[in-house]
Amino acid sequence: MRIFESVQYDFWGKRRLGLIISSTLIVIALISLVYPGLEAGIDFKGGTEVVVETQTAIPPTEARAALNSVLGEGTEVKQYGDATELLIRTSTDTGDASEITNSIQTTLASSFAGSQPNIIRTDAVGPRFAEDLQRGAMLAVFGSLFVILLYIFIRFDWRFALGAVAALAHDVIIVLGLFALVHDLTPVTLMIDQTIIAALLTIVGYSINDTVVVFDRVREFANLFKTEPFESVANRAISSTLSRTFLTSFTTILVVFVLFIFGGEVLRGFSLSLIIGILVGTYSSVFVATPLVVLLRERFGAGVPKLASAR
Amino acid sequence: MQGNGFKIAAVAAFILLSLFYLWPTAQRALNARELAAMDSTQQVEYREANYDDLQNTRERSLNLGLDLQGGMHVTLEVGAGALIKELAEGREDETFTAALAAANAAAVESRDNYVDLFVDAVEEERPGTRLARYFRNSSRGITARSSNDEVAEYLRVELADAIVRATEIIRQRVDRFGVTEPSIQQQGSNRIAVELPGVDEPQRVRDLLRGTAKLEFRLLPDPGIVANAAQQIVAYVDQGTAPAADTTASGAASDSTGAAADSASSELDIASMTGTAAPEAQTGERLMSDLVALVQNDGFNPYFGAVQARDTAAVSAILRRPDVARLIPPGVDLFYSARPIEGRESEDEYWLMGVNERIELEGDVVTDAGPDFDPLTNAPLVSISMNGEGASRWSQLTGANIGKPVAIVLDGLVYTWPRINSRISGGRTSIEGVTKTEADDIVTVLKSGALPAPVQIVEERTVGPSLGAESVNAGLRSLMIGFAIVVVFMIFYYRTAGLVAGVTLILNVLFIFGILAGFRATLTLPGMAGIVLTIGMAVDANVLIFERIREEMATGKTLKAAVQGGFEKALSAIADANITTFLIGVILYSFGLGPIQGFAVTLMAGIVTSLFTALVVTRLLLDYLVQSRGANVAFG
Repeated sequence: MRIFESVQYDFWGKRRLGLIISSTLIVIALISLVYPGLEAGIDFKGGTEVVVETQTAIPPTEARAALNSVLGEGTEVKQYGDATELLIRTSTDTGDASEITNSIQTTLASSFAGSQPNIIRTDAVGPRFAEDLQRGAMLAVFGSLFVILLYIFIRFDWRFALGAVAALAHDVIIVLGLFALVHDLTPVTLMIDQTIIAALLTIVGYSINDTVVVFDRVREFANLFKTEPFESVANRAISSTLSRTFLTSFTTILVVFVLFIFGGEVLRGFSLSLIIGILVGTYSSVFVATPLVVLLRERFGAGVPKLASAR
Repeated sequence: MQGNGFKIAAVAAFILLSLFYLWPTAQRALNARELAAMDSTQQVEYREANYDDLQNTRERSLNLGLDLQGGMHVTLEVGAGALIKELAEGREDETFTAALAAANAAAVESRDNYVDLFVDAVEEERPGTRLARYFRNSSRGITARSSNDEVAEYLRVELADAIVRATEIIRQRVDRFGVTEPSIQQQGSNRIAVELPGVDEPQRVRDLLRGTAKLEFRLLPDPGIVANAAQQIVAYVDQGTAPAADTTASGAASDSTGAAADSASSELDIASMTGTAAPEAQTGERLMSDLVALVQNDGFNPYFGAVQARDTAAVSAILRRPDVARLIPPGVDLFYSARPIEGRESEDEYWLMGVNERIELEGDVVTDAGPDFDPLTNAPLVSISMNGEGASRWSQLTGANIGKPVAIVLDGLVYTWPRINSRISGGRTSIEGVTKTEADDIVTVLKSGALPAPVQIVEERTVGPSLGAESVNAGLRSLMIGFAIVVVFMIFYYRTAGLVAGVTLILNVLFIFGILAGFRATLTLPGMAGIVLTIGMAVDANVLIFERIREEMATGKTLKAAVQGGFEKALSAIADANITTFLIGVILYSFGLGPIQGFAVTLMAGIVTSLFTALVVTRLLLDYLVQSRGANVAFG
């Protein structure tokens, strides 16, 4: 079976469309990052998160009403996975998780007869520790962008490096924006925690992988068709890698979708962000990274990049 | 096929190595299955008979992360401020206290060494202060003439030393707790990370890790004074805070049928969802008389009152208020009892009681401690022996206070306050009113020695064993389904070549697990996700190669030449794409913690194995089919 074989699409001609789509998405993302804003998980905010398994299903709103009087304001209760599991988050920092877990257990047991609450997971993070984690996450995200910038600069040239990193930033902003936009509309817990940061970096890794494959073709064709204008070289390169781009994204999305369905509640936010990230990342290597390189070359001129010397 | 001998040998060697490293893991799974089929007595016998084998396989098998096998991860932070205060040995003045508070505030923001923050804060507070006035310590060479730099250096050394000692003490305590394969590591300059697989008693672990083993013997104040103070304070606090309008609602909130509570909280929900909730829209101030149940003065026990466990934090907060603290009788500290009050309807009500501020005798005189039983009542207790100095002071103290109670306070909780019946000589005493487990833990804490400074739990993650097992199943299920889908798709798309890719994928997964087992890495749930992701991405290298081969064939080359050309041309794209992803893995590994590191490890391992399998194994298989068998390999 074959798809996209020996196709020739004019991607450069569609750059305006790409620009409109990307800027719209980025604007929406940036607005939602300001309002409603991201919801930081306890990893980055500090607090206590408890997953309780009960014998009988307790509606989250009722559980919240019961717990609010004990744990104070801002206690969040969500259904976690199936109906007999609740995720309870509180920012009350008594410096001791035992008090919180005990009061959750006793409150639920006394308010809902026969529920027999059993705590199956506790995560407690102190405020200072959360700040450290936050810094680590920032460093990791920016550090990886910088490392990639450097690597592409060494292997290709600075125009490629800028194009690639711009596409990556585009992906990260859009995925985060989407999280900000829908975190309280979905049944999936979409809070920004360490796992999501790992997902973001994976998206960065995946997207750069995609971009580099296209860049590699651009470089090869630029050396083959020296007389052709650069945009048509870029068009050719994208067209000829299109089948591979589609295939890889397709298989990866397939397995991540499997994770989303079968991987359990813990990985749900992680796999969802990967699904979105892979879609956006695939799009950006075609419609953001490569057109940017063409633009930069038009603006600043360019010698043909060095021929690959991977051997 | 000539010249492929080395490649074949390498692939065979890697397969054997992976199987060798994974053997104990398989062995362990089989043992577990065997064990599960037996009843408990057989299990014990089997474990004893094969103890060495079981131990061996456990040590050499693939580690499961805490999120997969259940257990507890705790990060402790050593309180630098408290340590510095201790080193000042009571020579603090206002400057010192203010500087310490400033340093504590600064430590939240800054990553500098706490000592530097403190030194700066002292300078800020009162320029030109000589630190030596607080920290004179002739045995450590700090005299009144020591320069500030010397003192700062001494403090830094003490702090670093405290962490090392604290780690050691925590290790001893954990060892006595009896966990299999605990891990205790110093993290950064003032943190200790503790991992306890399979532990499901979070409360007990917390107490054990945090216990500073500050054992104190104190006398009790006059019960009447404490009872009067209690009445005064409750009255003062309740008048001082005008009862909020919705105290009725909060009173009703504890019973879930209260209609008032329901409506109040549903309003609250709407308010909090729209982000308009004002902090005072909460359940309002509770009266102190609701928090503390005053009791009759019985002439012996200096009770302040009885407090529900969940209200203890609130009561402590009220008592810390400066205007309230003034009303506490001088020379009296208020502590909670370690055990809940017996014979009450509520299971978790504790005494808040007055204890003299003056410490008569401290834990440093304890030479030995052991769990024991009361010969009369058979109740568990902790027996304590003291050194000579302790024994003589204990004898004096008990002799001078016959008929009065003496309180035994451990880490700020009053365990017992028995009446002294006669002078106790010989330096032996006991802590009563404990359960067997508590007795064991107190002994552990006392024997491992006092922590050099109090530790705080700054991070704690507990995963129940059932959730862990669920996660393992979810991870494995995703792995198999993902694998099957990808292989079927590849065969459908690339025909024979897809089958080749499927075979390499099997080896790929085997190699990943082999690497994890060989490097003794820990498999976490995100790590499993990383493997699933790798399966999706591993085909990428194959796809790149196959697409190139198709292109080469389209230009009319022979199959052999096309395979050759396809590999050569795909190489640069594969290398670049994978090196960048690998770098990301490295970054994730350096910044991530626990489970995320597990993810990074599998990601990196996956990249290495994908590269190897695509470039070497796929190549070998294709060469074999094309050249040796002369097969006409279809590329779809």
